[in-house]
Amino acid sequence: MFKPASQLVEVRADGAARVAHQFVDADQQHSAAELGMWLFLATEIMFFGAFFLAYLVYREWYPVAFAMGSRQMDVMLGTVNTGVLLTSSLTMALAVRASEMSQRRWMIGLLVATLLLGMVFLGIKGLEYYHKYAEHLVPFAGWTFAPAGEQRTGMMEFFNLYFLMTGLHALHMVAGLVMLALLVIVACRSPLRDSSSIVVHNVGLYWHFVDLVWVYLFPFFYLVSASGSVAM
Amino acid sequence: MNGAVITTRKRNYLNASYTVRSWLLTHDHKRIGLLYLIGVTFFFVIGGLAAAVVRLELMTPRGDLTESETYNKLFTMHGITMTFFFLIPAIPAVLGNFLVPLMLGARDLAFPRLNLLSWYLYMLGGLMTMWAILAGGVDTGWTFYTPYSSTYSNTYVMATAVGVFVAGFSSILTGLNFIVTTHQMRCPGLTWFRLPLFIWSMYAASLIMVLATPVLAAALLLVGLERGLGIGIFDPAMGGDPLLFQHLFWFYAHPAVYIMVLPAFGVISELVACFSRRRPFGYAFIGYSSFAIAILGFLVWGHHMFVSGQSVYAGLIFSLLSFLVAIPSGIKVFNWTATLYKASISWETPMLYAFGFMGLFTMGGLTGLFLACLAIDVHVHDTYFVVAHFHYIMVGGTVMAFLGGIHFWWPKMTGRMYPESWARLSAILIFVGFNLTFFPQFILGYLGMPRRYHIYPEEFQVLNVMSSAGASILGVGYFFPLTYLVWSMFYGAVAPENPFGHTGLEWQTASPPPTDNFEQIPVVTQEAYSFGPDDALRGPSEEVISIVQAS
Amino acid sequence: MSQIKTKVPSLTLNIAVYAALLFLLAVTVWASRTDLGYWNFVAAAGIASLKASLIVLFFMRVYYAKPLIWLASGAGFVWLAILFNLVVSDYLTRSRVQSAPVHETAVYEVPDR
Ligand SMILES: [Cu+2]
Repeated sequence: MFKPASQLVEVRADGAARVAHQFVDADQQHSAAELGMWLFLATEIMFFGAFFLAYLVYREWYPVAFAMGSRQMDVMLGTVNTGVLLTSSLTMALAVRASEMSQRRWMIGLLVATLLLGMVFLGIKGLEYYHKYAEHLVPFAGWTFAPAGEQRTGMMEFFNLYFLMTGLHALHMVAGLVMLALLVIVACRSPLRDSSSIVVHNVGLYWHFVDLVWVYLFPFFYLVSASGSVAM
Repeated sequence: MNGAVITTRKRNYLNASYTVRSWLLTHDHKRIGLLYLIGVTFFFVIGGLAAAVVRLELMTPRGDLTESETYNKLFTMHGITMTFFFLIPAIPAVLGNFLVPLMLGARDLAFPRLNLLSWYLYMLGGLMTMWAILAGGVDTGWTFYTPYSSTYSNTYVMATAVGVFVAGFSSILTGLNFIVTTHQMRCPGLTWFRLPLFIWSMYAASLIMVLATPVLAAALLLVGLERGLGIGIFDPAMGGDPLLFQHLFWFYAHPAVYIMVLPAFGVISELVACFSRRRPFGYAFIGYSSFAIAILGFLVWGHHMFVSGQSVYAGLIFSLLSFLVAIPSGIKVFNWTATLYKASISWETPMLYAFGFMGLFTMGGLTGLFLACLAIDVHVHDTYFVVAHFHYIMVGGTVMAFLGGIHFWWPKMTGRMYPESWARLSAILIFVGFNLTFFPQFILGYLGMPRRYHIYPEEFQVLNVMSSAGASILGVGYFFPLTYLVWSMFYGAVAPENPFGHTGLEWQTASPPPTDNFEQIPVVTQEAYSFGPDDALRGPSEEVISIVQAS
Repeated sequence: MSQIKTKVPSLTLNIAVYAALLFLLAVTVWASRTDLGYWNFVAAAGIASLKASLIVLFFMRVYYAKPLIWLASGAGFVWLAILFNLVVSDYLTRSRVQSAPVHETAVYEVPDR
């Protein structure tokens, strides 16, 4: 096994940092920006947490319906999409690394790669949504919901949650893509500064967070066991 | 007095520029604090007017002034405006914005642009809600309970929910800004245990703003999606549970009470220390108890759901945990009292408000224990007993502290003194009016008068008339500060740097402070509240005494 | 102007974390195909949490960060645990109340006034 701490490389970025008037120095500005981002992510965790709570409650109420709903999911597409998103996290992490080592070209390339992978994810997601629509599995907005039988209400709740949670996740992805695009545009126009690496780092944190939400969404919607019981 | 005149001619944050643009696009935390002051005052007046109509209607047992539907909209309007647009931002966004960087010896908050954005979000949310009220109103009560809000109500629930949702982001951003600023921007020498207690309690309140508000956002979003799109997370027809909404809502809304009252504790700690000229007894305990309240406050929300169909076993746990909140609250009240013991107390207006706070908050807190009792709650749930209880906390607590704080820091904010005798008179009027308004409601509730109805049995009329009479006195009491504070901005006596002889960095700079707060970043070498040996005898500065005598 | 010193995790470390994530993805799909009954949910949630920890610690650099960042990144999860625990305590015990024996319920005659 690797020892992570020993893998550190110490880097000194070139170019002067721009320090806003309320800060004493660049270090203070850097720490403030990082802490601010983490607190923002804490609010995001609580926001998504509310929906995960709803998921837990209803999965406990309707174990069979959730297993039946999950069988309607395309595990193949879901797995591929998870892989795409994990890869985009890698390219993002490497982009942050490049920005810290002042490798501007690498950074731009890796950011573009992340952007493209994010778009692939959304494309596949859109395809899946279309399939669900075509199979009459959308329980709201006046569309017909095909499943019948005694598990119907439970399955409605499953698909309500599926569209709600993956939809909000997709919206967050779109926001992340916008941030990435802005970063790319700015990076193409101006040289890297000391202060730019914290911006890339913070966008990276946001991107990894969106990835992290999907890491839970994937097994919770695609992989509910056919045996149907829940650990609660 | 000569020295003071020269002080005001100096460049400060108020006379740095005069254009409307320079105010609306300002990044200065002090100006943003004043913008918030205008906002919260506006919404306080709106919410107060709604309450006035409610109290007028309740003068008689019959519904003769308003229709039942109108009455429902009025109390909803009162509740939503007062909680989300007055009480939540009142102390944090006005006094907190103004004071946090000053008390920390910083030039501004960590994220000034975010701070301005949060004011715009707040105003946007508030105006959307006002629009919803003008367009036809909302009748769900401020709690938006499902399934009424999501399915049955035919009023402007969606627009109101969006307004509250947007304002929630402003609250989140303010809290985030305060936490980062407190961690990263304390001036040299200002260690955690040298911080003023106001900062401790603002920090604890900010934790709640950051961690609880997103859950309210999620709950309101789900109500909106259910109304608009039919994504029925709370809809029994689609397998949902309406009670889940209450869990999510109260996970925010109980801690939200501490967003309102923790900053008030902070103000009171400052006032008690200043006007008894003492370091607060048990400084560290008062600080820790703020954190204890912030954390325990997250564990008790189920006490709002004792009779709603929640499991009795969960009710037991929530009841027990609710009792525990009394411990840190008690620590605070006892420590303030111990600070006052044998101290040389002076009786300026802010201190009158602080005394009012301590008495009224204690009553509000103790009646909260009644409500945390499972069996008693069955009897008084959804009666005027509850209404009286939370008004003792929110009006008797938060509003008293807000007014005390506004008077205390008014010289710093505006560079002018408020007229002392008018201020004392209105503080006394408010205290009397408050008690006459809300004490009868405890009895009404205990006798069984339910909240949210405007038609009631004849035998409740005497107490209701008393309550309405008290409300009119309270209204007059609030009207006075509104007028004389505005008057004092132009004609008040010029304030010295430190009129009340308090410690703390905000008093070490000019009144009003320069845009960058301090000529030089201060270096702290002492504990907070290090009153000198003479301070116990000193009292307020001589300039203030001459001002008081002149007025 | 001062310059910022940053510690940057190496390329190999990033790739190793990525490989571990893909491996865990395979494991979670495999685990869902196997009937573990009660434990299927635990396995899915556990593996997801393992993946999440890898992302938080290494991609998001919390492993190298100051204690304050550890606190800030943990706060959301701790508070979420509060929400989950207390709400679930309601839902898991609610049915016991509903299935309580009914025979103790008394019926009272209400006299006419
Ligand atoms: Cu409560």
